[in-house]
Amino acid sequence: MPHRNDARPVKVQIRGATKNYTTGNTQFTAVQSVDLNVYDGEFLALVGPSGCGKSTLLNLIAGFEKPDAGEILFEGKQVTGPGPDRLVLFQEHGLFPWLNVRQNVEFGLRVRGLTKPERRESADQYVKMVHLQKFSKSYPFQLSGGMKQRAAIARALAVEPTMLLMDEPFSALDPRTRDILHLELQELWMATKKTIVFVTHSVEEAVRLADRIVILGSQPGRIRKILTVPLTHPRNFLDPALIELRSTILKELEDELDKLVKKEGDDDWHLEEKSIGSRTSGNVAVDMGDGI
Amino acid sequence: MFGGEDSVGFPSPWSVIESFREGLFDGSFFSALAASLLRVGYGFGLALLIGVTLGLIIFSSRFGQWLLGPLVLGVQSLPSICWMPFAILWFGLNEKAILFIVLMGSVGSICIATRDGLTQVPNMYRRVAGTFGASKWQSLWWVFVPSAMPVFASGLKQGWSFAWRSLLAGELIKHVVGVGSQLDESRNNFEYPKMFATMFLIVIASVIVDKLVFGQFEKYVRSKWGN
Repeated sequence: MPHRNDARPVKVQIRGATKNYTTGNTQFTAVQSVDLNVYDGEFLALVGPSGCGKSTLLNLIAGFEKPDAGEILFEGKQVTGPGPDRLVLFQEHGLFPWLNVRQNVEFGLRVRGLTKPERRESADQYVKMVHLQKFSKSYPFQLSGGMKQRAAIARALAVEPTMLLMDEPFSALDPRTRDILHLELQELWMATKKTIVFVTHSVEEAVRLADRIVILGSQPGRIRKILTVPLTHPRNFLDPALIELRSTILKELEDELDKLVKKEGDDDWHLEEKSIGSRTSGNVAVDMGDGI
Repeated sequence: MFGGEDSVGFPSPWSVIESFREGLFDGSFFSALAASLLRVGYGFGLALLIGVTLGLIIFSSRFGQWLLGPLVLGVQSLPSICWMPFAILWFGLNEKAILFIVLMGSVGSICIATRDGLTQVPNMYRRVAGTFGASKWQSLWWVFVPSAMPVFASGLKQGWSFAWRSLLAGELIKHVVGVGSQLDESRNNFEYPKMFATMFLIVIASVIVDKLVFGQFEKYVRSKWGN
């Protein structure tokens, strides 16, 4: 059931956002005049090569950064700083090492001023939701990467945000764990219908999870294309349509790879094989078969 | 064997052990040690209060960073006993002068440990606090302070050893009831076995406090913080 985006209320409005960074004497433009609407309840993925400004865009919505030009509106109001209505999940989970799982999940509730029994009840519920009850008294260093990320998800959900901003949350995990978390996140999203903006460099991840995929290009960071994924949830990750979509996007990004190669290497470096999209698509079934 | 013509011979190990036993049984070692520990505890407590406050000011204000930071580093590089002449001028040759050098000896490392601990808080934790909407004070107490603990604990241990050294140096100069003074007095009174026994007493006390109090605290922090 593809969503009719225009019918849904707009959650986030990005209007002509530009963000520059200066390192030493050189200035570079991370994102340049980006216009984008995020609709209420949608799962939006931002994909692109490194340096395309996808994380910058997320940080702008989060309020960690301010645009040099343009504006970011959240529910019609200008974003002035970070807040629990636009909760961010980080690649490195960001759990506090001195708190156990339950105490970590309670953090946002403590900030809100909930009493201890209230916090505890709510935390237990969310710890259960991510299947970590057995580990609610464990400290982060005692958990695996996937468990940490699940605990971080529970901590985020506990404050009941209407929107989640996820900054490559699964990219540090092994493929198997990632598959499990994809399934879990899909379930969570279907159950809660939160608005999710998901930054990833993995096209596969994007086609598995997202309703709409924003493909970004680099130098300077800008939107190249927005694709609607015409597949319903829950998705079968082995669906040939997903694999098809994946290689379409990879083809779209092919010249971006060449740009990246030029930026990060010598000028005379060319990619010999110009068909990375179609070449890797043959391996997808093997990759995904691993985790299922 | 080691000394010049007017030196006295080394006391035998047995006489040192005997003197140590005597000191333990008549309670004189305990009362001297208790007095010294109380004194250093007082001075160290004062250093903790001032050092943490200064560290917070340096961390949180531009003024602190530009002026106080280098000042504290400068003071820290001066051996604390070098404050003794100043302390005597200011307070007179009394216990206050000793407390002052204990304070000057340890306040720098506590202050620097506080500042370093706070500045080394990963950006990630600041952002987590921000995204959950934590206020300035909530962030300070629930994120910055615990996150700074491992660095702070090492600094605390270092501050303690500076405080203890300063105290002993101070007690050598101004005689009071205490192990440092007992060391110098036994030399004055030609009680050489007692002098050596006192040195052992100081070593044992240092090791015990260092390992049991500060070592355990550091270990606890490190184990709980997961490294």
